[in-house]
Amino acid sequence: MNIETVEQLAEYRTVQTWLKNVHHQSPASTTTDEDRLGTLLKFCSLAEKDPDTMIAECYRAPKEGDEWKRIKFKVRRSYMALISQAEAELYGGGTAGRQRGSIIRSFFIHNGVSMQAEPLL
Amino acid sequence: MEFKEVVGNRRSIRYFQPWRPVEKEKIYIMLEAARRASRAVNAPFYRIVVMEREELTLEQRNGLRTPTTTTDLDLAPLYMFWFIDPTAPNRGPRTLKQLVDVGALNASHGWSHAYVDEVVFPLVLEPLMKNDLVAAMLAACEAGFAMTQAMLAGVEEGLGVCLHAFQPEAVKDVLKAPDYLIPIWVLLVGYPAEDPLTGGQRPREPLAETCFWGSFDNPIESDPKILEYLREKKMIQAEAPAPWRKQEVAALSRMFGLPE
Repeated sequence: MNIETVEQLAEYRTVQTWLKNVHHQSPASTTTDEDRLGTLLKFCSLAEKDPDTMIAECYRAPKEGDEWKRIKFKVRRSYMALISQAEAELYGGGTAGRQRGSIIRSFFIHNGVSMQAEPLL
Repeated sequence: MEFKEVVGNRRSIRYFQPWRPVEKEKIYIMLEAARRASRAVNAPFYRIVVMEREELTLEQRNGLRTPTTTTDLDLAPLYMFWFIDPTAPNRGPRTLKQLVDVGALNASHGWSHAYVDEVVFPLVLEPLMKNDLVAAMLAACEAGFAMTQAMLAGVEEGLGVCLHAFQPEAVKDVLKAPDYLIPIWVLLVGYPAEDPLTGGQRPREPLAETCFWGSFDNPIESDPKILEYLREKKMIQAEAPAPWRKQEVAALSRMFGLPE
């Protein structure tokens, strides 16, 4: 993975999809794109993968005649675990860590890969 | 609250106050409302297992999830697991005769104990139960009436409600449901963390798309006078989204640490 800046990150198709969809669905969000991209950049470094690769890995290779994309549940689970790890180790844990983790979940969700986190209570 | 307003106020609530338990009294009110729903054969087509969220382990709760039932399970303090009983018409000979005895089914309409024993049970109910699909469809429909009454009673008590699919295998050992019952929905119940009216009524297709007079050639258009009357009675309310709804969702996501 050779992404060093958020500008480079923003060139990826899945990142553009994410930003477009999150702006549409969550116009009142107080999270800035700078926050989003900075957080995702760190996660890409941890995963050692670019964003398009991470999303592509979550889907099965389409077979002839497939009408729908199919999720690889094991891969999705592994990314969910990696996000939890990042919350604790990369983003400082606690509420702040969770907020950062949920930015990464948002990236997956807006690319069609459902992600869940236990709510902070 | 008037009935029409209760109907107008019901929403599918997806953000609950997870820390606030539902009072036992309100649970009983919902169950009693369900019990009084219209039902074919006057037979019980449903069973409900009520459970507080904390009675399940995190692993069991995670096992309940489906692609469409997600964070709701973590937020709702109370679960009502609904099962349908396709064998309920077996009770027909007894329950129908009860209706004859209390004057609900009368000779004026051809009903008698003999009619139940010699015609209705052997020629209608027994054959119906031999068709698994028809029996399940009937049971699901009948249980739906009870669910609706339970939900409306809950709304009238200030609660939020939402029906969800669930993976029954995850709680099979906990619920211990008999094999002849079919799991159908989990009704999540709790106090809404979002505005109970969720920023307006959700979209519905025009009346004419679903209702017809005499034949499908003749759709029924909404009557403006009736619409106005129902607005006064609060059965019809402002349509979603309210201008502040997106801000509310953003605030809820922040509060619970959920993705946007």
